[in-house]
Amino acid sequence: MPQITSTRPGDLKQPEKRIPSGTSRSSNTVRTALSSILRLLFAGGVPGEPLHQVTFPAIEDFYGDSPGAFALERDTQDDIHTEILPALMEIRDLAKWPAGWNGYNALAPGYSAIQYAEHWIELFYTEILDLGMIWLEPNVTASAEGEVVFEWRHSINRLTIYIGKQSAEYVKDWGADINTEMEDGLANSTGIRQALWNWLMS
Amino acid sequence: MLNDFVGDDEIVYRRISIHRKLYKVKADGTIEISSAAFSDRELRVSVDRAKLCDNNPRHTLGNEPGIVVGLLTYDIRNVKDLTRNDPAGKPIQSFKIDVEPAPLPENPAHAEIYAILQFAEGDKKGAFHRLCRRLVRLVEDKQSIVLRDD
Repeated sequence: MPQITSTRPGDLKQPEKRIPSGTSRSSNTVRTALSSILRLLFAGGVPGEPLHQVTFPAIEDFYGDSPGAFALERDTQDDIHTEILPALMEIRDLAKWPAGWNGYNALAPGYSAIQYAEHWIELFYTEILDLGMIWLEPNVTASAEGEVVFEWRHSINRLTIYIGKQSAEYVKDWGADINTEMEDGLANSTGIRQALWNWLMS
Repeated sequence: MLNDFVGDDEIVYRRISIHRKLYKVKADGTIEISSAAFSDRELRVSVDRAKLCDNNPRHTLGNEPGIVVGLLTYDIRNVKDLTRNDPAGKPIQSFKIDVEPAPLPENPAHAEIYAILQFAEGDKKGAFHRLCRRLVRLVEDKQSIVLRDD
């Protein structure tokens, strides 16, 4: 359940828009870039690492492989948004982390969470571009629960996103006081995500 | 008995691996910690009591590269205002944070940071994440890195 500890005026009160079901040109471009890089990286497979054989076909399933998509791929090679590719590659790398990766009792990052994290970060990126704002590279790691974790810092503001199977949750903090300087909730809509970025960069 | 209670003046250690992007050394030498460094499946954060491992953070880090951070038990117990909230943000349950011994056969110094009342499944997404953020702030504000081997 979303849990909001406090709110500040003007923060997350924007009308919510649901996650768009279609794809924008820029989001297709990101997919194209990622797909191309993955083809280069994983062409022929890597002996002893069968995980690649599992994960690489899955991204095509996830993003679709219609003739139109491949035509778009050919047409937009010059428009690759390289900004987001490092994050996407780091997300995919999480699939290689074993259980216990933190030296304690962590679960291996979940495949469903990884898939959804790719989709979520791509949406977030395009929504930030739609705001006309700059992108900051996130720290990409995982939680002991197997979630994908994104973290951004700007000035005193900290934004942490936890991505599970089909849901994203945020914690934002601008100080140490849990009651007055932290807030958490769901980050599953465009309105919320854009408000979070506006706040982070404020 | 030494093991019965973790005193307010005790330091507890938590190891943070270098490999998983759980911390970053900034250009000025200070360290930024990820909230994920304190995540735990059981919502009980494992630590080691310094006084039961000869105040040697190497005991906690082992042979893996990374860092060990130290937290004062008093500061942990002084984490206030952690609540479970309803969807409207209204507090419906308050938590007190404590540290208790949880010795293991292979690690008598083991202890755990936990909540009273106990965190429930639904607190994984709210209260526990905020606790992790608070612990990060405690470490970063004091830069309480007691061992670096990275």
